[in-house]
Amino acid sequence: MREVSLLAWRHLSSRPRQSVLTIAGVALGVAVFVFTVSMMDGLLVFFTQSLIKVSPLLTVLPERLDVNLARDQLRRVSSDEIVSISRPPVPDDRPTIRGATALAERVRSVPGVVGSSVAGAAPVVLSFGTIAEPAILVGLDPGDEATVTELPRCVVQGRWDRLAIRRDGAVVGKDLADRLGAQVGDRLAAVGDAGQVRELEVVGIIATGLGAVDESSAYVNLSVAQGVAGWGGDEGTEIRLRTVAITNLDGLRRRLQAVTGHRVETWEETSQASLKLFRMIGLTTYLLTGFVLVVAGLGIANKLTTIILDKERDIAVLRSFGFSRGAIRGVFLIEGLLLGASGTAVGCLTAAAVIEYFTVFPIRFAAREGAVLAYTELFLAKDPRYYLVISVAALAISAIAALVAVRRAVRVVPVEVLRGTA
Amino acid sequence: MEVTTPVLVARGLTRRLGVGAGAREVLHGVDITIEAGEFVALVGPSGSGKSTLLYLLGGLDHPDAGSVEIAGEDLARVDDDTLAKLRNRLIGFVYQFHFLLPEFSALENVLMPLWARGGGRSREDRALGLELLGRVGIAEKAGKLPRELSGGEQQRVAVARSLVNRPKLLLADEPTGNLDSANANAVYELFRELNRDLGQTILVVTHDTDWAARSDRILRLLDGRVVGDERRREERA
Ligand SMILES: Nc1ncnc2c1ncn2[C@@H]1O[C@H](COP(=O)(O)OP(=O)(O)O)[C@@H](O)[C@H]1O
Ligand SMILES: [Mg+2]
Repeated sequence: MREVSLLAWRHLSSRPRQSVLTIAGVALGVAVFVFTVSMMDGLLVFFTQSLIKVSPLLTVLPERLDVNLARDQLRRVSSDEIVSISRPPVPDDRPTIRGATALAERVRSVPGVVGSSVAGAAPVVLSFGTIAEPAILVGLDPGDEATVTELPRCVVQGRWDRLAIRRDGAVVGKDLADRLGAQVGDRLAAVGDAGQVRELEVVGIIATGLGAVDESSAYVNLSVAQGVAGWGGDEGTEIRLRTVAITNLDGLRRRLQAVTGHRVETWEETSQASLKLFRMIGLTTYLLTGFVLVVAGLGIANKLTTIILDKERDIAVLRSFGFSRGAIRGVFLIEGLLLGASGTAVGCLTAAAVIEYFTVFPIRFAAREGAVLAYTELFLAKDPRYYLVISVAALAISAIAALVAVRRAVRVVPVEVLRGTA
Repeated sequence: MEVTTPVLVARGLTRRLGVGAGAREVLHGVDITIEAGEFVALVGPSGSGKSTLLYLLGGLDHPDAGSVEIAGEDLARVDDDTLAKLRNRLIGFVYQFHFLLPEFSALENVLMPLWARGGGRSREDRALGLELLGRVGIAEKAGKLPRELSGGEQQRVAVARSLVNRPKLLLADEPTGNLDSANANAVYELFRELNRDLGQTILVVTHDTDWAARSDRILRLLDGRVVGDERRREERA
């Protein structure tokens, strides 16, 4: 075994440039993989963090489940008792929740819920001077909202608290305010669907980093939104909840559905489309960087094949004085694994160093108008599993490459080679 | 002279080479017996089948018919890896080219046949390697790489390598074919010495009539048949 390793080592060390290039190829594949995955995961983590900072973790929606629940219960009845239902019941899809305040009060006492707030979102056109922009007017209780999200802390100009003092105050999304050209203290006009008009005074500008909020939302007192939308004093479009847990919310979600009779959504469901998009980008990244790795594997196979072709005579000589086929196979398998393992090690170290560097000196991007996410700083996720996954994959690919290449070495028939050269 | 098993007994060796229309029988039933301590020259015109015969005798190739026994071991009916082990134990090869591995020092090259059986690292083995390098006259070059040696020195390292497993039979295929006459003569003297001092049994293919003339016995091969077998010296030490 020592002899076999020594042969392998000498083959590689006597061609330092080729060996280094092959190792560099593997290292590059590994490093690109780790860095890219870290970046993609970082983006997802950043998005998720931005999202749960300003979004309710659970939302009680207007849609009622009574009918569906009734059907559910019906299923437990034995079959001979069932009367056929000729017309399936249509779910109640009124656009608002009535008695919202009482309901918000009720869900607050459910274990696991730490805060609740009634909100009413109404589409409006906001105008300032001659500029008009479509927007969503989100009415809420500024105090209650502080128990549900960190929206109040995202105000970059003015103050969230002023909403409580000024009945006609509005905290406007930064990009929306920019488009309107409005600043704190300016007066806006909001026109609802049915033509109701309300005057608002900008008391704050909010920047959450999420395009959906910063581009089109304006936060006002619930009564203002109710007035614009033509709702009654106890109506809202959602009840926003903060919970103790952030993930695994499904149990609590179902419990709340039973308690309220309304459909309840987790933040993951609400942002399903965006999260799916991020996951898909992540998957594509895995596949693409996987290809880089396969290419590196081909590099190993290629390098070994070159050595083997070059060494055919040496292989014949070794076999002529007694090296077994197995020993010859061992020599080149070890070479493949040496190349793969060195490349993996170098690649992992490089990736870790680069990730560390960019954590300390982050890359900053220019803020972009209309972006889904204000991602102004490269955010890299760190997870030892990246290294584990890539190491296993890279070593497996190296081993496969070596096994493929080594068949040629094992097939060498000494006498044919010697006859050819003598 | 005591009765011993011959080092080599080959009977009815037939070998067909090539494929399809190009296939032809290169050896037609060759019989050879070599006793321990003999120094035999195998001569014959180019293409007469000398190398083909040597590969068969050395267990590197399989005959189409006939058998080879080295020191009583039948080479015919064993699998490839066993055959490799038998080669490792019984036979030393020297080729026309030195065939040294370029990444290894002279001493490492000499010890390589021992590596094949998991040895070659003990102090005794290294001492043996150095002793053999000394015997071929280049002990001081033990640490040099093959490319740092002259052609004659390279071939001497190859000779030392062929002896490191203390083979029953040393086979050499035109070992001086690529050397100038001075170096060729030195290698010849080396073989002569090995035969005389160590009783090494040697079968050497040669074109060199001088060399042939100075061996114990000359086997003549013509068109794949042994056509002559002369013993030069009756008396054996
Ligand atoms: N692979 C082969 N296919 C067909 N004929 C071959 C092959 N190898 C050698 N020969 C022929 O076998 C004969 C003997 O070759 P060889 O043993 O090398 O002769 P020598 O060593 O005496 O010069 C030659 O005529 C050569 O052309
Ligand atoms: Mg020949």
